[in-house]
Amino acid sequence: MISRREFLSLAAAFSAIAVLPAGSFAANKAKVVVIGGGVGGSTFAKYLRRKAPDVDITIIEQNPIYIRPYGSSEVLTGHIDMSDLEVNYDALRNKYDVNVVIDRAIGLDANRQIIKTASGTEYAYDRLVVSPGIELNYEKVEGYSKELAETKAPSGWIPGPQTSLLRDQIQNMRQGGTMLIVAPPNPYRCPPGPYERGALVAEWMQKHNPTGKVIITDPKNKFTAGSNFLLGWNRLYGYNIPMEFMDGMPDDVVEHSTPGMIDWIPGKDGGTPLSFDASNMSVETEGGKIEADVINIVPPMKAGKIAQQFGLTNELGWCPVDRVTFESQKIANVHVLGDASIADAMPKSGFAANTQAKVAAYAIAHLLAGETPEQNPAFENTCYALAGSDYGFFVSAVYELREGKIAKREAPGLQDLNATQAQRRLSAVYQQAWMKSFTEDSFA
Amino acid sequence: MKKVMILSALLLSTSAFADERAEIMANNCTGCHGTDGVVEDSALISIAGLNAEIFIETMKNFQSNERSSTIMHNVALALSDEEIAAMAKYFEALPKGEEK
Amino acid sequence: MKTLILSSLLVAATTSYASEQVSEVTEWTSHSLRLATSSRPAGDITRGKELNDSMMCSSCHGKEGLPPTNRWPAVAGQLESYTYKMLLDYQSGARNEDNRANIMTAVADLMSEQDMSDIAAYYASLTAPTLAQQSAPALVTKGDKDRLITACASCHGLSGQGGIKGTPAIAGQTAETLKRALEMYRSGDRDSDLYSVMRQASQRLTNSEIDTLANYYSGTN
Repeated sequence: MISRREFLSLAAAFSAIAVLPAGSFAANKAKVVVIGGGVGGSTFAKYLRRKAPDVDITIIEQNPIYIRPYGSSEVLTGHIDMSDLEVNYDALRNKYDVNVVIDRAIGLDANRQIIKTASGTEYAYDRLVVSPGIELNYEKVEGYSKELAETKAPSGWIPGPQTSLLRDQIQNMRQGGTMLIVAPPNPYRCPPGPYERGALVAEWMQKHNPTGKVIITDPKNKFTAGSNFLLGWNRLYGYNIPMEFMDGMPDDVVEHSTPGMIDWIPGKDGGTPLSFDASNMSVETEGGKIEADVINIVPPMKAGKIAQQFGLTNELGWCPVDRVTFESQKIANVHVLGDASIADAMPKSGFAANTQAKVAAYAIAHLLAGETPEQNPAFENTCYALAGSDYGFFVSAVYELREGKIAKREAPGLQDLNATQAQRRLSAVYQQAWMKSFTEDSFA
Repeated sequence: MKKVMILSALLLSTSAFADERAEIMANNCTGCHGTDGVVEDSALISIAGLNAEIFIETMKNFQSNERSSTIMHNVALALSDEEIAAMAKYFEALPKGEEK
Repeated sequence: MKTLILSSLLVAATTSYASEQVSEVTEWTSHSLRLATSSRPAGDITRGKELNDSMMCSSCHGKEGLPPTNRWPAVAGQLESYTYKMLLDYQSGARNEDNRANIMTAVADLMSEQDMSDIAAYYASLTAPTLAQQSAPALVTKGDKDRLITACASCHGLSGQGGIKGTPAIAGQTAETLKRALEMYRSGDRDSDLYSVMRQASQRLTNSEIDTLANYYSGTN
């Protein structure tokens, strides 16, 4: 048995090997290549290593540091900094012996089972896992573009410079100004996200811009944990709950005589966005034109670009997969995880990607060993959300396979609207703990 | 006494439950309670090494709200007795990690 | 190694909203502590029992003050003054030794002084766990003069009943709870003890001495 280092130096001595595929240190080892080092790809690599000590695992990721999207709205209010979103790959490399290469996959040869990268390297695989996250369809909103998102009306849905720009715009907004959030149609990454963002900005405004206002315009008529949000907004920001949402609301709901700091315009009330006008900073909706000082457009989404390039997507832009192994229904030996995959009842969340990745890791470990995977897996999603920094709630569900699709088990899925103040306070504490825990479970 | 008998009946019934399925179910907990049930410096607690009967009783108490909770009431209600027992057995066998 | 990786991994998520709101915390002096505890409103046991449930204390510490698992300390039979001081410490942020403390800070922040006193009275009304007869280690009975360690029993009592110089009852806590407390004092992360008494004493203890003491007062010797 020779060590990796010895083999490398041997290989260097016999420089006849021109290109050394990173996954081929030992020719008899099975090779798994993962494209994308987000929650899905990283959790997958970690849990596959735990199950399959001898498999060669390579992650191809464009960025040397992962910037987590979940919790990134906390940057907007200054609760955390951009650098606090950074997660490194040290543990994957050092503890789980995963070869994390910073490169970009550009080509797939599905017949020869080879991935080509921008640097000109080829990686052979027995199983390929594609976990590319989302691509934002900026152009689906008329008048909007990637360029405008980077300069004028940031989306900030994939954290990065747009997040910092949005933070600066919010914090420098004139007193009494308006922030407009354009919520996306289903399905999209982080279903409670736009509403949590609106709430956190409203809370920030209470301190720093008390006459400011947040408007959320929405093509949808309801959203995840909607009742919990509306109740929280009523209690914290003077929002008046529409009649159709009053069912089951606790007795302390107040009818406010003045408009609140936050407003939500559902599709049925004209909230559906039609176009963005950068020159006079306004959004045309079915209900009319809304002008704002800061415009945050969360555009429609589809599977990450690489999934489209490789032909893994359907006509709607998402990737159909087998729900036991997450193997693509389009290309054999290629699997798709996380936001990009079609996971039926499961939301597109980091936590969902984390549990999908574990199921897929176990299934692929069996497939590589020539065995049959467990045919009856179960998944979970847990998302905590905030209506204010001391006001938390959650969605939770266990999922199982029913007739080849992922279905939600019957059980209560939301925090009770009659939850006590202590429960909401604690949910806000757990929201922070949950982000730390599941980041560690995915990357450390 | 009755409670004890129910608990041991649940523990026995896990033998039919495939080990890997128990592990897959348990992996759904570790996103919050840490890889292998160990989480460090957190408002969430480690569950590795927890006595299986206490684990089962705790989940039953979460289901009935005998023990108040935030999310665990919902999570516990979404799991079958057989699954809870299998997860209890799985976590009980895991090393505790460093108590902090 | 593991701790290193974890701590370098995530700065972000360890930030807590709760700790952010804590203003300047001043250390207790015997005078300020006496003032705070002497102005404590009289506790109502019945109301304390209700608060124990409605504030979710009972979820971790038990309906009768005995925790369902060894992850949390017992509070049954705890001295009224000590429970009250701990709640004040959590509320002010004086006690914020780790991320677990965020739970207590969040809940204590919702409490009035009357609430805290009622809860303290309820716990004091419950029967404290007791220790079985066992031979006490020398550190408990004599301390260690050479290392300036006071005998534990001189403040906490031989049977861990506490109550001397404002000390808590510690008898029958789980060994994990006692060990965690001593380690947190030793590292200085827990620092709301009057005149650093516990911080100083614990700094002179070895790991195995901490185990011995935790085992003795938990009754698992």
